[in-house]
Amino acid sequence: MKSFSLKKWIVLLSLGPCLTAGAQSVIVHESNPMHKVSRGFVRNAFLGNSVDWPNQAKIQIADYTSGFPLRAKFSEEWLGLSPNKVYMLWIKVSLSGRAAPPRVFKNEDEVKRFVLDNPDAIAYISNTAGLPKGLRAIEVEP
Amino acid sequence: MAINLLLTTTFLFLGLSLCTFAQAEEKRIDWYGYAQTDLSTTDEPEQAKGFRLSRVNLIGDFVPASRVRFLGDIEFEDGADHSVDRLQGTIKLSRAFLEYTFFSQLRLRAGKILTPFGLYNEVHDFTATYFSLEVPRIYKPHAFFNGLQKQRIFAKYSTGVEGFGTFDLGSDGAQLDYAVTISNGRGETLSGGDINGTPGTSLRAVYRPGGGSPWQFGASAYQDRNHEGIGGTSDDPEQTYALDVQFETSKLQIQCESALGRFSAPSGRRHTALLSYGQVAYTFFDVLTPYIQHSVERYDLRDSEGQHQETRVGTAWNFAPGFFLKGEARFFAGELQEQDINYHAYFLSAAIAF
Repeated sequence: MKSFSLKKWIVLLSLGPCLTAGAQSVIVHESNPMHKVSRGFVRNAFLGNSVDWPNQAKIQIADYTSGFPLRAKFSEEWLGLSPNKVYMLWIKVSLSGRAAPPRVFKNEDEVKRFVLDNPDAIAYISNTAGLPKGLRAIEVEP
Repeated sequence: MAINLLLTTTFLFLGLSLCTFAQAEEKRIDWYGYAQTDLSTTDEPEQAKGFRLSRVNLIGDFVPASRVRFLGDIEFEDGADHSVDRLQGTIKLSRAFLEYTFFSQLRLRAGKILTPFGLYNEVHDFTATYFSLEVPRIYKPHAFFNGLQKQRIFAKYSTGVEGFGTFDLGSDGAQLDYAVTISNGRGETLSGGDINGTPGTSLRAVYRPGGGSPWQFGASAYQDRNHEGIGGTSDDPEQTYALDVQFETSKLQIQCESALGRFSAPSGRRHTALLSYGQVAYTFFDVLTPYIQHSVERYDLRDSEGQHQETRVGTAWNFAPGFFLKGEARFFAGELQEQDINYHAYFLSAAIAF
């Protein structure tokens, strides 16, 4: 068997973060007029820096309870911050009167149900397989 | 007069908008808030010691339609026993405003608001939102002159109108926030009107670079005719300008703010006061954050008297989601009008956000 060269290992290791970063999917209600958003928009929305969709509807953030593994992954990979730091930032955002804090749910099914019921909601899930009717993944430009 | 007309028109407009949209769309309401209690000891005779229920705040955030929002913030502050025959502490409506969004670049608020000033005035005195136990000294009232009431160098609250918004500067997430307020300024009648008929104005701008940058840069300005001037001069024209810089990652956090306040002294001479602080905090295990904060104040840049320095050293422990414990030591050294003021103070604080 051919052994991996050092060069191949370096390429593989450097590709690693690119393949895993952003593995989660950002989902919205199917009636949401946005089909494509920038990664900067997603970051600003989930940090409370942007509180409206481009059509001026208030963004409703759905998140997971603390300790939910997907929350930690999303916080680190998409927002570049620890989940607790994100939580602390949201306390600031809500107390400054900028926006209400995100709704938090115990699992992905509850999150999907919330987005189904709220056309202005945004959330993230681990994968889009079996995404119920009425929801869709939104394309995120790097 | 002009401010009253502006307020009335804005309220009418927002009220009509609310009625129109509320019929058509689903209403949404969120309740959240916080509570904090402190224990302190100090060798300064005039400082409060012992247990203190600092505050309990309940915020109602009502969104009757996509562009309209009402926020009310009820606060119980600094009280031990609050019964009908023994009133202690304060219950007040800290904030109450109607908000209308034209676009994300322009929103309008009318009512009682927290003046958008500096990093912390709008987050409203909740210990979990800053590193030290209380807001930095820039935000606190100061005894600039002996025998006169302590005052801030800006109005903490404003009754009036605020225009604010956010400009997206690129797909990397860079943003520019701004906020402009026109209000009664400091000095209101018992029924809430402007006592001297001259509005207070404020401006704040914040720049956040994109690409997940940990930096943030801000500038604030406030001016009014302070009815009970800092130096005791009635309707004194006072101005304050401030700059702030923040570097914030999950672990390391650095913040610096400086404010210049201009006001008349009791002698009539104009004073320029400089109030600054810097603080560094580092978070271990995502929950334990030791911090150090150093404040420097000069109550008149042309006079070496009236200099204060305070160092706060402490640790914040976010031991469960929404629960916070803090321990802090304060070392204050200064002198005001030939009186030395030196004290140490030690605090423990427990807080909850819900």
